[in-house]
Amino acid sequence: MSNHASVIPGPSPVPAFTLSRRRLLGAACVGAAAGVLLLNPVGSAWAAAPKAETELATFMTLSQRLTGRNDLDGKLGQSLYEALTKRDAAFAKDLGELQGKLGKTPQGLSGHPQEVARQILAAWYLGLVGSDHTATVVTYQDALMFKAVDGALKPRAFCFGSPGSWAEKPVVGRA
Amino acid sequence: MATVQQADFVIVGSGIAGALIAHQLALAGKDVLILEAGPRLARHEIAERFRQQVDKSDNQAPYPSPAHAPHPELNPSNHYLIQKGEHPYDVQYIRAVGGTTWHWAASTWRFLPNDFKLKSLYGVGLDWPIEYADLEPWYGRAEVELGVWGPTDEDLGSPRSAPYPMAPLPLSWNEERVKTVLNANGYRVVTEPVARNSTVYDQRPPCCGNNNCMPICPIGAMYNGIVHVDKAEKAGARLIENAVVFKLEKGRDGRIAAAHYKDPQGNEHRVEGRTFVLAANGVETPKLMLMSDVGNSSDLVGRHLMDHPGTGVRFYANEELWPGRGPQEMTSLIDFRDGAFRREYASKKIHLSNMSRVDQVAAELIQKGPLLAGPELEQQIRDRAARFVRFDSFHEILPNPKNRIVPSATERVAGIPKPEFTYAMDDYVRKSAVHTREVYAHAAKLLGGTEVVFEDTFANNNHIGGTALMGNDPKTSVVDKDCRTHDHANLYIAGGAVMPTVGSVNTTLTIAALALRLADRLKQV
Repeated sequence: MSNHASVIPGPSPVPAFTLSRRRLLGAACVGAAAGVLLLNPVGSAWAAAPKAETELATFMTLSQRLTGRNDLDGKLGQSLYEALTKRDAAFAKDLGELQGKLGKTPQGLSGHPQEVARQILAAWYLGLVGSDHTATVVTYQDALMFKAVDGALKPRAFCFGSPGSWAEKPVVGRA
Repeated sequence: MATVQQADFVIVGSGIAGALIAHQLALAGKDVLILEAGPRLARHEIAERFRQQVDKSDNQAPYPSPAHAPHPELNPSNHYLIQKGEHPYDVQYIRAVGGTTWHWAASTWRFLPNDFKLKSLYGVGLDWPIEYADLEPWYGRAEVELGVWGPTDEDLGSPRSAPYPMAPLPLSWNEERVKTVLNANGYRVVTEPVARNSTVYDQRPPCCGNNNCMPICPIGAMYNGIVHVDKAEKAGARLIENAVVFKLEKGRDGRIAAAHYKDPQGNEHRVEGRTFVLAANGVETPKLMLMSDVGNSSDLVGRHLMDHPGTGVRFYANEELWPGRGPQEMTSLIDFRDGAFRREYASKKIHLSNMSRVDQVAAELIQKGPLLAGPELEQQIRDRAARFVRFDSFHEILPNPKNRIVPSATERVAGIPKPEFTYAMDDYVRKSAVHTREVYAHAAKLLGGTEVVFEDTFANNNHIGGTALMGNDPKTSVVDKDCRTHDHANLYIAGGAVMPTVGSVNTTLTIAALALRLADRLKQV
């Protein structure tokens, strides 16, 4: 069954790294309105906010390091982070460990921190959280793998262009 | 509570075969009732399920198996298919209004004249009771009904009395390049005929390259059986969805009196008819016949099960080809469809994939091998998606009575037996596959291929054939050359089940041609 709640709208221009308390509350209210999030009274959301904010900021910082991109979409990042923590309650702790082990280059990672790095890369590039049939599709069209091919290919099930336009020699960087 | 309905023509199954027949009969003013086991589906919902599915290579995933009328689910398996043979008959089909052409490559090949005479020409397999010339006009009609584009400047070996309804759209860069390289080295790669619009045709739009023919064309530029279901209903045919026929009731004088179906609640209904057409594919049709002890005086119902066992190869070319621009498949290599070699080993068609590999290579790079990140990862995704090459093939397996489908004696679902398969590869296919592998290796060499990986799994290609063979002798066949069962004067079979051999190409156009030919006979009934 399709899960429209998980569809992410187009990339947001809002920078992700300074997720304000107001913005987090805004997201919480949207969630509450949809009846899926935050049944807690407002007060406890206030109390929880700083920790969540810090963890999300850590996730975004590590995501930037791993993808090498400074244009990551904040809303998508929040959705990916929520899906990752929902799937694995220890994810926030894993992030801390990864942060500690991540040296100058990710290539030096091994063991569990490397697995966590792969999870984060899969989330951004594939739009998937999890790797088997129980995985969650957080986004399809905004997965970074399509940015990587830079206009040479579109996501499947989206129109490529005018009929026959595929005959031209592809030029990377031109949509 | 049981209900009773009536119709002059009762058609079991609403896939391409049943839908074409229903449409023709309804146009002729006949009283037609279609019984379809599965539900109605909306194109936009199927497309959205695809966008939301985890494994984009799973063509069954956007089509959830109905609880009351299961079809194969792959990942994870729902164990609908029971495998008893040495090789699994891992078939995929869809139980839904419109049938399995919801997902297909839209390849609409005609058989070659020699495909109908395998026994007399090459001493293997069987001859058909009809020849290419008998079917030629119906191939042409089918191409018009489906909306087929085909090459105007390439002879595909199947003589034509009329041009293709549409000229093709140009090949993708990938296919043009591979065709150029292979043809410069003695191979014959041609534009494949496909039921895909290159212009507005039959009120449907031209292809805009969603690259998603399988599992769903989001815009209906590719033909699906639902087109003729809609047309049949507009012409006056009735359709009952979620009606799982589980029994054919025999009446007087060897005639079929009624079809019995279950609705999703398990209630049973009886449908009386004058003429019955079974068009429920080469698995569910023989299953129903065997469950009903119908049409089987020859003991051949369910036997001679066939498909096109496939092998594949993947590698990285030494230039950027960018598969994924345009439709999923536009060309085929046709050097090995016919020749004296058919005495010794199977004919085959080989085809290049033009499916986007972005998700596949990205997943492989992220989940396996050394950890890549940042620009290096993106460069690798770009490079691998650009240079990925994959060929697949269809081998002609011979009709063998030991290869069969029966209703399981022990396993049931929704109160109805599951299909049980006994299937094996033969040396005729294996020998051909050795040669296919040599062709793959040569193609890889010509394209500067690296990381060449062969897949010799004899994958099922879901071209169900055999199981209710057409022939002149009631002792050695199930239906006559008009697709009427030898045993029951008012029972006909449409679909791949009647095909005595399967040739080396996708069978849908032959199924459609046979269906239109049968519809013409039924108009006289």
